[in-house]
Amino acid sequence: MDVVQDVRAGPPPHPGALDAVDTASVDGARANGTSGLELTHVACCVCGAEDCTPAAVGEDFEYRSSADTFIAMRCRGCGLVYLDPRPTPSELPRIYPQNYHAFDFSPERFGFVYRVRRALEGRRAVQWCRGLGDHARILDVGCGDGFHLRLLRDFGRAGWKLEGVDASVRAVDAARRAGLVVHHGSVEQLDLPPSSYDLILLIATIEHVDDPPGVLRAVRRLLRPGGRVVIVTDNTATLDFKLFGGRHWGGYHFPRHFNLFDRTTLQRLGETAGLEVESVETVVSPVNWVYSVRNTLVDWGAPSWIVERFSLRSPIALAIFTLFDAANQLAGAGALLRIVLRCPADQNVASGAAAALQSPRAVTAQPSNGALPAAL
Amino acid sequence: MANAQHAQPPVIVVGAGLAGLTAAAFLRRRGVSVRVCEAGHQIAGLAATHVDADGFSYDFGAHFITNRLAAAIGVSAACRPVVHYGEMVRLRDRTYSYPFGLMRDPHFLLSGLGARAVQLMADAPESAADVFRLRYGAALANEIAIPLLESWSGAQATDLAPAVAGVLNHSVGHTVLLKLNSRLRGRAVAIGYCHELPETRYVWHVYPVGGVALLCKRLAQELEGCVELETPVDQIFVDQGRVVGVRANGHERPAAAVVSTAPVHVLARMVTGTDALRPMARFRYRPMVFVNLRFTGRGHLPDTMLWTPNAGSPFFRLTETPRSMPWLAPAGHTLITADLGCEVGDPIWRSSDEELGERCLQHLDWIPNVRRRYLGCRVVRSPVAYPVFLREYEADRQAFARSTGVEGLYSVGRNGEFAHWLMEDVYWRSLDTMRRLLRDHVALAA
Repeated sequence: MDVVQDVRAGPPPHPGALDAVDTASVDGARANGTSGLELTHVACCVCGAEDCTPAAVGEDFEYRSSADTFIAMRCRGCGLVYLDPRPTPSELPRIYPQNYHAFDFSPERFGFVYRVRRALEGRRAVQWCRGLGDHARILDVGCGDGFHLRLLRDFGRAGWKLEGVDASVRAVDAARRAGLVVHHGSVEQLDLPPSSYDLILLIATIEHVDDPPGVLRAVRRLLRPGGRVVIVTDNTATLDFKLFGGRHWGGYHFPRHFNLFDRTTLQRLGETAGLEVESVETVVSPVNWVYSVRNTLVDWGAPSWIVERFSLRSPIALAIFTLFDAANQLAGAGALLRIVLRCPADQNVASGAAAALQSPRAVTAQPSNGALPAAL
Repeated sequence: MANAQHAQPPVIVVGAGLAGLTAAAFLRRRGVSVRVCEAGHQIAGLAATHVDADGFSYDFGAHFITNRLAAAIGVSAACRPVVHYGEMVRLRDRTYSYPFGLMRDPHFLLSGLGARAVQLMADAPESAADVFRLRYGAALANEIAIPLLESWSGAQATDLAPAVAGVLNHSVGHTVLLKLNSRLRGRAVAIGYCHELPETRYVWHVYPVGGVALLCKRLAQELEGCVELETPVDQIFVDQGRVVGVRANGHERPAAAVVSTAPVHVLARMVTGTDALRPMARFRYRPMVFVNLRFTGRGHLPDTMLWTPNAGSPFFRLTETPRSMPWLAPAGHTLITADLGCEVGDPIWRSSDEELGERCLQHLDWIPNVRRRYLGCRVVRSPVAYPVFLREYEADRQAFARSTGVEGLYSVGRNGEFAHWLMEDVYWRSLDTMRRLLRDHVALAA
């Protein structure tokens, strides 16, 4: 059975973060690091419409990286759920703090959960690679500390050429220490060889990036004709979203998940980039459930010993919600979505199709400093 | 593309308040060339806050914004949550919590239940008075709702259109649930403060540090170089049913479209070249005088807002904003705002601040030691505080709510829409109107 997919384990929220704003002036708040983030407005990245309605009002319950309240919008055109306004690229170091879980998902820190996740994810990773040749070239975009690359190295074939991309120096350092080949930067801006990869993975990455169509177009350029992309991301067409979607849903991960998809919007995103949809299915994961409960408890000021029962270091909560989500999976609504896209064999046809599709643009021009969030 | 944009005249937004700036910022994000003409020497319009030397803050009436609005504009980190908000009614020296406390009085309860029973069989209401009697029962309507409506609007309830009474946002059950959440959370969950979007238990009142004008300042950041202060627009030119330009500061300028935030009867007089807006010149706004009384001590009212439908009282509502937002008055002090309906030029309008303070005090003698605690007052006068939905122009009002009747002319904001919208409504509605503008003028969007 598929289990833990995404991992979050922040420290207990800093309880003073909001109180500071209650009592201090704006300048005072700025001085103690709880000031507001610099935010920018965007349009829907899938259909380009700016016709949206608020779906949720929430906060960074996990890391308390700022004193902001965030608003998740639902596009009236296509149903995409997206963060608007959202932090500008210059704020990425603040919203991905030093202790961000994806920078260090290590056995030392996560113990039993790490071992279970490694075993189960290893099986999943090998599934994604089914049909690849002995010398396939594989790229993990947003590889974090290289967790999935290590799985492929350990469980995959010896001849596979494995590479990763991540924008975080810390994540890249961790991955390189593990002996992996990881490029630092964003997949759009790095000068990677075009038409040369057989498989590109975006595992819990697409929801973090500011311009998903741009990332997928870059990915398509790197794929060999017939090569495949596997995207795994949070699913908004689920029971947990219905129950917690007004504020506490774990998948919001405020303010780090910029775009959240359902089957339809994810499929449409792939097509916008000129990729063919091979399959879309949902996957069991307890993480959004666990974090929905945790965020609710944090928001209500529950004592930390209860809050800590709901984290990635609590095997019992993870096990219970895995069973729970398995029931949802039977109804076709598991917590995560997995889409497999294929680069058309006839590249010319594909390029023509992609060119014909206007990419919806961000409304506000953003400085591109290559600091794409590419956390796990 | 750049050439095409230069060839196209800008959209001109008249007024740099919350509505005008929201509209302009939205258009600018879409790459539309936009100019904001503001007659005054600063932005923020009705959303301005004045802080006096003693540390008292005065808004244009009490302002309540929500965490959702603050987040949408991007100023949430500079907002403080409001912990409590409540309303009460003072009637014949007794106070009742609103709305459920009134039901403690069997007189109101029976009359209310009776009204519910016959509601389905009743004829369609013709006036606001009918709506209130049907909804609340004759007792509550005659003693509370109608007197309040009449002193608020300056018109007879029988002369007011049913639309004044609006539609109730919530069922009784939902209201109870929101109130319960408010109490448990220690957050003033917004009830009846937004009509455009559902009010949920996650939407509560907040207040920006330094005043509500912060919302406007944030929006204006996106409009650098586009806002022209001290630039009054006094004419809007219409040719063949279509807006073609404006006269601002005495100079004529072409405009691709005009977004007005001016009161509608003023707008009707500004527009030349069409009769489409002539009926709107009759629309009336109720002028209001807000007397901000300063006191020592705090908690003089039983709750943040107190409705006073007593005949003979010059005010119909009192608000002690520091009960909800303690930072609006210095420690150990408070501010009570009395709302007095009036007409421009009438004795109330012309009274000095001192006279108005004295008049209010005479009717506040139920506050212990009220005169000893009194520290003077500051009066804010608004000639266009509330729209008055008279039945005589109700059909025109409804037509105007759909469209100005002039191609390329849009009217947004509380004054511009001629509707009793609160801040969050103003924001979302202005965005919706701008989406309509872009649909109507597809070529404008870059």
